[in-house]
Amino acid sequence: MQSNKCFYRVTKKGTVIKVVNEIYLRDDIPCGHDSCVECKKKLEKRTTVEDRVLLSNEISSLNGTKVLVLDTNVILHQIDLLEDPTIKDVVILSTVLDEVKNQNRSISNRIRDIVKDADRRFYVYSNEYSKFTSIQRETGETPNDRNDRAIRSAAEWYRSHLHRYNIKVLLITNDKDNLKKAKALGLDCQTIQDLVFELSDKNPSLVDKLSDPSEDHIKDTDESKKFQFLEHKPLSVLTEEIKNGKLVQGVFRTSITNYREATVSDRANERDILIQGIDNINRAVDGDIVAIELFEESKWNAPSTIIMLESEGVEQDDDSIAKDAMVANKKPTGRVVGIIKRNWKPYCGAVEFKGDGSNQSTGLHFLFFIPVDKRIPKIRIKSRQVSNLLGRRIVVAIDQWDKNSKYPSGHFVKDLGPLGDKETESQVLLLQFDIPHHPFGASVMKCLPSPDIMDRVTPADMVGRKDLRKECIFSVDPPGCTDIDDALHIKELSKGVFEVGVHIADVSHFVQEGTAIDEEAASRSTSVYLVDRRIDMLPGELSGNLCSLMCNVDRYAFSCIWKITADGEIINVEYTKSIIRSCASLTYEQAQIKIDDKSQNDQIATNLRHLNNLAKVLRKQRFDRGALMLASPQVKFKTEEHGGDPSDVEIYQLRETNAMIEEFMLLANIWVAKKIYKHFPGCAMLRRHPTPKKSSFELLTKLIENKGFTFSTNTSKELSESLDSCNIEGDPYFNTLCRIMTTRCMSPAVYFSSGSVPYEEFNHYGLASEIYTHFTSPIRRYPDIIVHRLLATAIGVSSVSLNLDNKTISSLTENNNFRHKMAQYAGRGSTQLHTLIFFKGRKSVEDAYIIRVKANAFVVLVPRYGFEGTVYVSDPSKASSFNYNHDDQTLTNGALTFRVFDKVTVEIYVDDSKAHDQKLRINCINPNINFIPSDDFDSNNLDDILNQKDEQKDLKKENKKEINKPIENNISTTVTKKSNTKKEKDNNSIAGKEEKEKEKEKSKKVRKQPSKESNAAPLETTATIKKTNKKIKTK
Amino acid sequence: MSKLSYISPEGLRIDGRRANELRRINIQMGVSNRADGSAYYEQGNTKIIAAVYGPREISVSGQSIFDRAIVKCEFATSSFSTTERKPQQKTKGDRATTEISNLVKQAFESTIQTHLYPRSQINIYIQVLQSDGGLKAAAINASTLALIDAGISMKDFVCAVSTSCIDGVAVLDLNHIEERSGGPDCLLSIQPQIGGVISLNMDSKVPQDLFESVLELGEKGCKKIFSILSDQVKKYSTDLISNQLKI
Repeated sequence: MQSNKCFYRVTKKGTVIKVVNEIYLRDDIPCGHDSCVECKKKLEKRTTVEDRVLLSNEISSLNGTKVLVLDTNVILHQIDLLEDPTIKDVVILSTVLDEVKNQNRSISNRIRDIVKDADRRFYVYSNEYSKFTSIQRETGETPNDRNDRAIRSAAEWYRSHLHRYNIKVLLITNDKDNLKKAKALGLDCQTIQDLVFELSDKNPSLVDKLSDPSEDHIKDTDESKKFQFLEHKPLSVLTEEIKNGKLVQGVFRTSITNYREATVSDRANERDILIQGIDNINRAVDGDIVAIELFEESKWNAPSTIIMLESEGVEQDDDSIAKDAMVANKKPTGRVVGIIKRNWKPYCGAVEFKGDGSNQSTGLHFLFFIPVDKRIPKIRIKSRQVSNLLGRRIVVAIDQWDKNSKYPSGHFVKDLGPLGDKETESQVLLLQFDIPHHPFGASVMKCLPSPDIMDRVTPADMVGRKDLRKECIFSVDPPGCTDIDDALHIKELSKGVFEVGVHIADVSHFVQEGTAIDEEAASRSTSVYLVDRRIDMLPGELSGNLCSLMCNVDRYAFSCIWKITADGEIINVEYTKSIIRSCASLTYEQAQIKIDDKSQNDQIATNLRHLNNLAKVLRKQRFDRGALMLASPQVKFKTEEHGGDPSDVEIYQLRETNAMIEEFMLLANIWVAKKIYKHFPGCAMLRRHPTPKKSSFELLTKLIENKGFTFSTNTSKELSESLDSCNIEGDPYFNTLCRIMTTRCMSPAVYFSSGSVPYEEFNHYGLASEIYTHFTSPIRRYPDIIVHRLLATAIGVSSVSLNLDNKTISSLTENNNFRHKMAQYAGRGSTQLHTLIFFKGRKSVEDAYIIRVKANAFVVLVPRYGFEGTVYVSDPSKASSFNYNHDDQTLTNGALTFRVFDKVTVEIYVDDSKAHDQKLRINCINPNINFIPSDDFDSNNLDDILNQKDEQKDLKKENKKEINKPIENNISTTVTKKSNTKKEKDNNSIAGKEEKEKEKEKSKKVRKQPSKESNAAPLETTATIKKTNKKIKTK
Repeated sequence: MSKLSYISPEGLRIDGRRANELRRINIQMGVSNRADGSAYYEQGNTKIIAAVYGPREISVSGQSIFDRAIVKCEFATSSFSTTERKPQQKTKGDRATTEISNLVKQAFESTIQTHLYPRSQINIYIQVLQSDGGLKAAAINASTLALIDAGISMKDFVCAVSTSCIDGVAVLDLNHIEERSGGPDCLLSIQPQIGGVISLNMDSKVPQDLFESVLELGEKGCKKIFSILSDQVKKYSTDLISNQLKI
């Protein structure tokens, strides 16, 4: 049977066209239930065995005696609930899936993931293509109503179809109208709440996962007193006003140091717009796409210089801070008037529970959830199992943010583990920085070659490979390294001429383009190194065995072999795939000892010395070109036992051999970059470090010149020389400090595709190289794999792949840069976490250097432990006893002045007064500051205390009101149902009415939102078009 | 990643077909009395009329070949055949239409037994009434029917179908939405009874490992089309005979 789907669509130009698409209605779509024989027979008649085998991998089937059919709004709002494994035997209709996809792509992906899991028994029924359930839209029917009807019609079919097998079909919908109509049809239906309460006997945590968008808002009679945000403008108005330039659209970025300040970058005018204060931020959350209105120029302001991390209450005296912070360089300011797209994700954090937990351990409570990410506001959640949440790291998702609520409301998603636990907190880091850390899937593992493949190398494998197994090749790595991706060899060809080879693991041999393993690696993009663990980019079998260039085994490699004179002049270069057999895996320390110990004169020792001498020559050349020696504080944790808590921290020691290996890796990277750029000028994967703007060094220059040094930043060479000259007698750390701070002034290096940037901008500033790429660590970086493929194609050993162009490489680099950044953040976070664990229970007094000064605090770096922290000198909302000078970056209080580079003595200890937010406290004890932040930082502030009280009052009020709320009622009825009074049931339906009313409103609202991003035709236009058609006719 | 999903994980395409299914085919032969042979061909929402004139005298002298007939083809899309109206331009003579007419011409030059009609020409006129993807294939199939209706001797039918692979799955008989998916559009036309491949056109690259399955699917599709066409031809000719007997 065939029918046509036709609808009207407005094109980009604004003309209206009629679109007609053919639809084939089938009678062979199975209902998906195991006990239904009829459907299976039909399907078998129509399809071949192979088709079915292909499909059965992806499709799970139902088998319970009760089957749930879900409405769209249930999926949209309750996805976290649906992810709970208790819920089984669910039919997802294709109508519903399409609607979900148009509304929210990420939810659509999540539901697809559930469907893939065979244990969950979620079945997708393509009702739109079924002869039995497909319906045509009637005249005058809105698309929403039509879809609701389609859902009902499918549910009805299911009921009649499964009736003979005694299987109950239950339609779950929170749309009141739909519920009513379904009941009229005689369908069994329920709201999701009812269903969950039925199930909650077995699994009480289900209730917490229930998102409750229909929540009643406490209507305060005194509107003026009640906190209220400005109403958001509807999307249609926003798009209109953005188009005519009244509003600016951009991504909302909350400041890392001050949660009440944010920037939105205005792409059109290339400037950042500042948003200050809670009212102006108007419920935007970091990452949202917002529309902002600019203030007139008189209100423009400079970014605040206050560090404010504690999101305690909303203070009224914002102005005083603003005045305090007034400085010369003003920025345009504005306020958020509407949200174009929310970027709400599940957030990790912990609950803050202020009430006394003794007598309130049962029943529904409002709690505040404090996210780990300081840029995210507190989230209000409801829970029945407060005792289970206290002291746990949990994940919470935001549901909504009302205009008269200070905080967004959300619901519980997942419990990660106890607070402060190393395992849990590492988990949090991975989630927070969006690092894919799930175990490798079956399809990925299927791509792995057998582990003994390297023992059976056949001549066929050797085609295009050079046999270098006879060479004396060795690797030098940190101790305990299992993923060895580089090895070296050196040979003196004649007096003063050497052959040097850098051999890199041939990962691209095992990771073929387009395979599941390749896609997985591309999305992970990098291995992530945390202090106590490593999240691999490739499965352990590859990274720790087959690719790892371990000693005394045959391994495939990609080699770069130079002929080089003792003066560092390169005569010849050869790139080739090879097979090698490393004869020694050394650690940096072992190699250093071999070089230094004159009594050792074996081949490896002499070769190491040759390499070291050559590296020194190359290194000197590089610095003569103007390469920078930069520094960053790196520490190493010592643990007593494997996986235990850190027992000591030491600065990572760099030896001569580190520099030696680095030198040859740089050489390989540069030469490979040249080669691939020559062959692929439009799509080579390269890496560049942009030349910093002069302005970014301004402040640092001033500070260093204050210290009495000349500091020139015109070229990298001058900068390098200036840095060398910054030495203070008796303070050897000053030089390192200068280098660290210089590093901070520069933007990080990025991957890019050679086709998207002009050649002049290819340069790598820090290395003073014209061109650079990453070639040497394919086991732990994806860009290197791409570079390997490019190089293999360039030397003609593999064929050009289909999608090799600027666009694909560019999109790859984007992901690589993002993942790289996230991996670094996570690594840093992990170091912080371990520092925190280390300091637990000890108090330490250390020297520290001031590296940044703000109005109410300064930031110090503690060289001994390589971390930095903030020392507060005054409360942000109180008049400071210190005078802040922005130009000089100083804080003065009488005779006491804090300057950048000053050495102070600090006391470090862990502040565990707040269980949900343990942190390192640093107090300055020499010179001594009177201000010592008490346990609760903001409680010094009277206003805040009041605020908190108000908050608690609010909470109590809400808790009380809650009793009257329908949800509570539902519970009580289910609990007391056993007493079986009909009255209560009636009560339930009456009380529930109001709630359902709201629910319906909400669900309508959600549906009506025109889907901006989706490609589908906005069906809403149909009605208006028909009207215009009529007009034309009457004319 | 493509925005639209062209094949759902349940194995259904956007119009409800499975990957290896053809669209509905509707045929009517002898639709135009003036032409020597004609056929109306419908495949899904693609609707085409083909008319054949000839064998007849060479219109431009000098083109004639002494031992065989020449085949000429004119392909045109009607201005109302698609939804989105471009400003009216020439419907014939542009690159796309020339390409299709050449394709049809070549397909039939090798299939018509041209040596039976020396010093003459055969004209095929193809007019697209409604376009919904698979134009080339439909044009070839329609021409086959029109030529049969005209009674011109051929070695075999020519049956064509478009195939592609979308998201790694070989897909048969694309409609216009699928044609815009960016996947390769691969036209296969074969002589189903003799078993020869007449033409294989590809618009973009097909991964080598998938090519086999695409080709195999196309062949199956062509055979299926052949069985539909030959059924219709048989039915049409029996009708003709019974009509003649009545007279």
